[in-house]
Order: sequence, then C-alpha cells, then structure tokens
Amino acid sequence: MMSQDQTTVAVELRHVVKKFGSFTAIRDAHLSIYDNEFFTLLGPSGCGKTTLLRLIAGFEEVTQGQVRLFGKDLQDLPPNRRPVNTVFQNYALFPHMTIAENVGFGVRMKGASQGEMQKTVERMLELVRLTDHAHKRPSQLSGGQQQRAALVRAIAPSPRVLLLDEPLSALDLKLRQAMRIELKQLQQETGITFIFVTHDQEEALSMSDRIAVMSDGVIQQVGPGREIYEHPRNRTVANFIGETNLLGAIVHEKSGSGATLTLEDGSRVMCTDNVPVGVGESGQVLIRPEKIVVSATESSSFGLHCKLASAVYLGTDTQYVLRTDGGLTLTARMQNVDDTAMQMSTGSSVVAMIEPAAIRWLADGD
Amino acid sequence: MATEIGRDDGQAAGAFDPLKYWLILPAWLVIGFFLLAPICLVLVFSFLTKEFRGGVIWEFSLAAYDQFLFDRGLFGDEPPRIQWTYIEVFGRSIFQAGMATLLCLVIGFPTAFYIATRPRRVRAVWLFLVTVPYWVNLLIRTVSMKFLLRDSGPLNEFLLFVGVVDEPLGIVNTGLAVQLGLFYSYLPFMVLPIFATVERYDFALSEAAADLYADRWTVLRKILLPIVAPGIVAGSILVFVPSLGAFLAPDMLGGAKNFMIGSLIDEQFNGNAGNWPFGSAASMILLSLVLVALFFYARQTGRQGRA
Repeated sequence: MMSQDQTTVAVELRHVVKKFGSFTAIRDAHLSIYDNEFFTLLGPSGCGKTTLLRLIAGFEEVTQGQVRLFGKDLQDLPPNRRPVNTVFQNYALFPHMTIAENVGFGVRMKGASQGEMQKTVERMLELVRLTDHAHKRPSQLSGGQQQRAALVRAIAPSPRVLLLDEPLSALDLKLRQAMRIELKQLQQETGITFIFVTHDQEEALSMSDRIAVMSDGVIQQVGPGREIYEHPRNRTVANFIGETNLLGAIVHEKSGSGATLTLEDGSRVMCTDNVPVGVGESGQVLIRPEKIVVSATESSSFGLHCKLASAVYLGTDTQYVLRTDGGLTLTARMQNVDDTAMQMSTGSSVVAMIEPAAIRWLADGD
Repeated sequence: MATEIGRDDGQAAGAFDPLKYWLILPAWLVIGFFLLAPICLVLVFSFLTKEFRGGVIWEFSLAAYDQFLFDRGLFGDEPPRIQWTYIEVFGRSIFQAGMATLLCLVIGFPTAFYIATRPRRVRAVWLFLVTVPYWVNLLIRTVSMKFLLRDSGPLNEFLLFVGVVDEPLGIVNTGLAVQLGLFYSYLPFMVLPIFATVERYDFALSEAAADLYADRWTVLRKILLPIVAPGIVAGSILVFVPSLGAFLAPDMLGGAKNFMIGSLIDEQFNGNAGNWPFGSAASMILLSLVLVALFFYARQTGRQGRA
C-alpha cells in the first residue's frame, strides 16, 4: 500500500550548497520530497546526508540555494519555528525528565493545555508500548525503549515532516529489524512525511518509498529502491547498493533488441539493456551476483566456462567465486534450494549462465 | 554449603588480614590530624575560661557562648538582654558572602559557558588564564583591589576623566568593596565546577529542545540549567563558605563598619581582644551554621534525585 501523494511537495531543496569553511559538505542538492512519503537519504558516513537533514531541521544554514517546506522558504526560520521534528541518532532524551515529560515537551511548547498534553502523551506511549515506563527516567530504559521514546517525542507535536538521523544504528540486529517494520507502520498510520538518514542499504530498501543515494556531498541518484538496485546510474551507486560484478565491455554488435558485448576476457555475452553507444565503443556493465546461475552441467549457449575458485556457505545462500577461462573473476550467489552447492567442489569446471536481461549497461561509465 | 564456604572466605579476608587496615591508616592520619583534632580542640576551647591576652584556663565555662548571645552590662551584673552586635556581624557576613556568590555566579556562569564551548586547545588557554591570579598571594591581590578602587585609583580616575561621575565614587570602606574583593578572590571556584559540568553537557539536548519548539530562553531554563545545576551548586558552596569566614577582604576593603565573622574571630586570636574561648565559640557557631545549611541542601537534592 503506497500512501504516497505525488501532487504535494513537502520538502523541496533548490540547488542547496553547504560549506563549512573551505570544505563543501553539500554540492548543489536539488530534490523534491513528497507529502506522506517515506524518503531515505542513503550514503556512507561523511557523505553529507546528516548535514542535509540538519539544513532541513534548521540547525545549519544553507550557504546557497533554498530549503522550502510546503512551498514556503525556510530561510531565517529557527528550528523552534519549523513544523519539523527530529529523532536524533543518540536519542537526545532529556535526562532530568521522565519519559512522559520528555514526550510531552514539544506538545507543551507548542501551547497545548495540560489536559491536551496528557492525552497526547498517553496516546503516544500506548502507541509504542511504553505506558508502564511513563514515570521512569531515560537512563532506566533499554536502548530499544529509549529509541521508541525518542520517536514518539518527535511525533507527539504532530509535525508535517519527521527527520530521522540513523535512529536504528545503536540497536542490535534483531531489534533493528523489528523497528524497521514498526517505523514503516507508524509512517503509514500517521501520514507524516519521513525523511530517514542511514548508511544501511537493507534498512533503506526495506522501508523507503524512494531513496536518494549520496556520496561526497552529491546526490547521485533518486528513485524507488528497486530502480536504484536494478538500474544504478553509475559505479558509485552500484557499488554502494548491494554486491556487484563491475566489468569492462566493448560493444561487438548491435541489434533491435539489444547488443552483443565482448567482456575483458574476450568472452561474448548478450545484453538486452539499452546500450547508448555505438559498435566498437567501450563502457562498463553491471551484473548482480544473484542473477548468475552456476551449474555443473553445460546446458546454455550463453554460459561462460569457469573454474570454481571458492564456495562459501551462508545459510540461505551460497556465495561462489568463479574464474572464467579467460581470467575474469565473477561473484555469484545462489539460494540453497537443493544440494547443488555440495555437488560442486572447488577447482571443478562449471558454467555461469547470465540472462541477457540481467546485464546492465552503466549510463555514466566513469 | 556454598554460602557457608563463602562466609568462611569472607571472614578470613576480613578478620585475618591486618594489611587492609594498615593501608587505610595514612588516610585516617590525615583526616584525624588535620580535620578532627583541630575541630575538637576548638570545640574544647570554646567551653573553657579565658586567660587575658590569649590562652585559656582549663576550667569549664559557658561564658564564651553567653557573651555571644547576651548582654549583661559593663560589669556583668545586669539582667541579660539579647546581644545583637555579634548576630549582626553574622547577618552581615551571610549577606556579604551571599552577594559575592551571586556576583561570581552572574559573571562566572557565562565565562564558564564560553570557555566550555571553545575548541579544545583554546579551552586550555582560557582555563589557564582564569587561574593565573591565583599565582599571586591573596593579600597582594586584595591590596591591589584596594588600590584599584580607592578615590584616587584608576577606576575613579577613569570615570572622572570620561565624565560619568563628578566626584570619586568612594567605594573603599563600603560593603560593595568587600563584595568586589570576595568576588575577585573566589571567582575561579565558581568558574571551574560550572565549566566541568557544561563541558560534559550534550548540546544535542539543546538542539532537541529547540527542535521541539522551545525558544532560547526556555532551552536555557528547562534543559541546560537543570542539567548543569550540580556545577552551579558546587561553585556556589565553594565561593560562599570561604567568603563567609574571610577576613582579609573585609579588613582591607570594608573598614571598621563592614566587620565580618572572619575578622571577629581573627581579633580574638591575633588582635587586641585576645579571647580564645570566645573566638572558638564563634568558630563553632559558624561551622554549625554551614553544616546545617549543607545538610538541608543535601537532603533537598537527595529528594529531587529520587522523585
């Protein structure tokens, strides 16, 4: 169920530049985030994603460009006058207040009466099952509970946009996975626009309506998770999201439905992706490991003859490292549906089959 | 079984390990020699009979406390009336020390806040500068304060020159001069504890509060101040207590009218009064007042912590 409203723009960044001294943290960020959207800023640490969030919250001022909220320029508006709330990375719960006081803080500051505030606090604590902990201090709660308290503290004043700065990074894996589902549900129930910052691609893919991949202060690509995974625009995006085989290729032949490519080792593969360059020109192709089918039998004409360099059993999957006869290294990943994995031993001859549709030509082959 | 074995072990370690007690000995010696013994001595002296021109006669007497509280006339034969003189001295001391503490807080808090929010390297320089006056003897600092404040001193000269005042302000020999002197003497004691708490303060909390619609004033009042309160209280105690018993600043800067407890006690041992039991009694009363105040403070904060 996508509750996304494509007509209303919640947050708009117009050619935003942010400099700290001579260091440029954000280069020309231009982006629209829609109302009711679960939007994720994904990138490695230091890529500028948190800075972008702080610009929207108002903790930092833009050097150039504009940040607009529902069509209104936020320039010169301090954080306390922006209808935007933040869930901080380390929660930043007020240590001298109870959980109830923490959750009620923003509601009270917004001018609600004592009664209204109490009602909201009760509703919020119920929402995240913290009712029994209402009168405890933050330090008496577990990490997951603190996280949920910080979450409802930010939601309680009903902001138009909620900013989440790596809110799950301090939790252990199990809790993190449970919180993903909870966050997504919360976003759908409240209808608040979520802008979520993370460096965890799985987190981004599992929750987001759309993802912006950032690196070095540049927004590399914006789109739904599937699009970013299947059609990464460049190497940076391809490398950051998921495992990849990035191979150099030369266009050998072009036909109506695609092209035949010559890989670095001289082997030929078919590709049905849009190849925008002419015959004889070179570029890069991307093949996801799970799209490569490894088998011991030679059944396909598209197969690449390889030696199995290693097979690592990973529970649900097995990861294979293959060396083609021409000397190219490929990584493949297959689900352990049967005992195929065990039948192939290291050093044996195998065939790697790649569907023509699974080979992506990188638009920016830099 | 297991517990019994455990208890045996505990006994062995507790009862038959004299080394443990020998290790605490230095601490007890220091506390006993420098804290308990002098206080006991003063307590005992306060209940003895005075010898003229200093010293005591070893004979129990309540005369010192009686002299503090009651006025029995010149020859001691009139019906007792409440002696207000010394109570006034105490009251004035508390007021002066309180004002000095307030001054230190008003100047010290922003100073500490400023230093704590500088980059780490700059911070060290500022902290060093704050403590520099302490390298000079207190007497010299107090004398130079008098020099600065006197009618023909730099402050008045400057004010006259600029034209803010027509005649010198006459600060020396007023309560204000004493407060300024105490303020100058004890300011670092306020700055350092506040610095220590502000340095540990997580400014994400201020951001979180601002994010939740609190204006700057509210952030200060509801978030920052309550969290750094322990530093403010520690600083206030560290300034107030020595100010209360100070005698250099009131003597040098306050003149005869601004006599404080410290001077009163000093008089009894060093000065002409030469009344050791009375000086001891005044000391004990001062000590009791401070302890009672600290006790109530501790109980108050203890309650807040539990709530």
